[in-house]
Amino acid sequence: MRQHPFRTLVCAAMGCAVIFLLSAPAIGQTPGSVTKTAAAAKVSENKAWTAPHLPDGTPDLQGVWSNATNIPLEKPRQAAPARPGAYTNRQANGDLVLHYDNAQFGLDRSRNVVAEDTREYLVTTPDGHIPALVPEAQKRIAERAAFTRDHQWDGPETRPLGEQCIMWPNEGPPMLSEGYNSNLQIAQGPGYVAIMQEMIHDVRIIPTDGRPHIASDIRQWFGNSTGHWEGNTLVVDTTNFTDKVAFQRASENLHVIERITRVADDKIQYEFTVEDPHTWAEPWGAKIFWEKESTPIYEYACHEGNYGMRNNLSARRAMERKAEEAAKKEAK
Amino acid sequence: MRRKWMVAAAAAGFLAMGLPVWAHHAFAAEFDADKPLKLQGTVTKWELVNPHSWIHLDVKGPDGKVTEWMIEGGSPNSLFRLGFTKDALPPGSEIVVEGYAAKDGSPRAVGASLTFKDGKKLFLSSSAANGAAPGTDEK
Repeated sequence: MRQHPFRTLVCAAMGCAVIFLLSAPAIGQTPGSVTKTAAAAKVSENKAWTAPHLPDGTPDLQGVWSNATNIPLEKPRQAAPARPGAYTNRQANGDLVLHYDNAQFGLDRSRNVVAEDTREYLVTTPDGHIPALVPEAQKRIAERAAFTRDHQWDGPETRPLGEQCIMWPNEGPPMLSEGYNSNLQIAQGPGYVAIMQEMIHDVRIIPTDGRPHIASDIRQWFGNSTGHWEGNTLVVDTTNFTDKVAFQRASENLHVIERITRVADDKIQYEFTVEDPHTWAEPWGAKIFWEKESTPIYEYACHEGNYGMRNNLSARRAMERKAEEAAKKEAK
Repeated sequence: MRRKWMVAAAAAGFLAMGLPVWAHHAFAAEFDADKPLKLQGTVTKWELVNPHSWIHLDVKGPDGKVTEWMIEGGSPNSLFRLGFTKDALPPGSEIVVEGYAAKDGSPRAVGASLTFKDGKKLFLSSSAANGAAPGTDEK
């Protein structure tokens, strides 16, 4: 339990908002490439500890959890400190960073540590990297990037999904740290597990009654999840994504398998694998630890107070007017 | 088809922003790095709304004319977990804001550094550093 403010701050603070991932073969099966190479996480296991169960016999995962972390998803491509140092809102030359002071607003990423987890990255691939994109994916991504370049300021519809308050980039599945307010709540009832993420208040309803996925022509923001229990582990299989979400630049064919296991009263081990032959040549995955959060989930009503959308577009229009006026002057 | 691509572009835009995603939108789109400012004024209202809180500040210009500025800050959820509520910044508080002005020329800015008049940082109490509940021993 986080009992003092630093600990609370740790979970309220942000990690690098990594976005990502995954792949999956048959339901509940973790690809060999992932299991063989699972990174050693130095999180101690208490052998004497017994996983709690609900009256119906299913493992009890309920509660509010934080998945905040400042460990990068994959190994940094350039030599750089794997974890950020102490936060400063001044650049090396003394100028303010173009942002509010992260420490003031509880967003200081350097404090965002998961106890005992000393890994340098979260993915479990042999080389610590997300597999390279296949040519088809490179082409798709280039086309999208070109459209974004030309149209991102057209109006609210072409702004990023998060800026539109539709969904957050790391909501998943798979679920990664949102960077700040990285908290989620699990509730269980007979035949169902519900997972609500604070950012931005969406709830995944996961049936565990053995039903199949919905028809493949039905596509959803969070895909379609079905779950089942393997010992103390909740295994969730998700398909039926749309082409609008693009987790780690994946296609709508993304297949996600999550394995959620309570490993201590105050800790959950969250593993996922992703596969999408239209994006990566092979499946990959990661392992993340969640810690018990001492505060409840707070409402994150995004749309109502979203001045940023208006401000961004009005800023753009102002710049365009300025450019037009300058061009007119030039013409004279 | 166009609609489909618009959404795809929106999704891609998120990725294009790069990591880490510190906030809910690109700061450089809204605020101008070439327009740093320092404002001293009196708080009239603090909107504790997501995705960003906004401090309303009356600032008196050299000509005596008062302008209401809006200063963007972090998510109230994070602040609340740190122990701060609306009482931490009541109307009438005098604060100094160092930040950057909005690109559209309106009296809005991002508050890169927020301090009370005596130099003490907003939302950062000494108790927070000592492990006690922040905001409880200082008013």
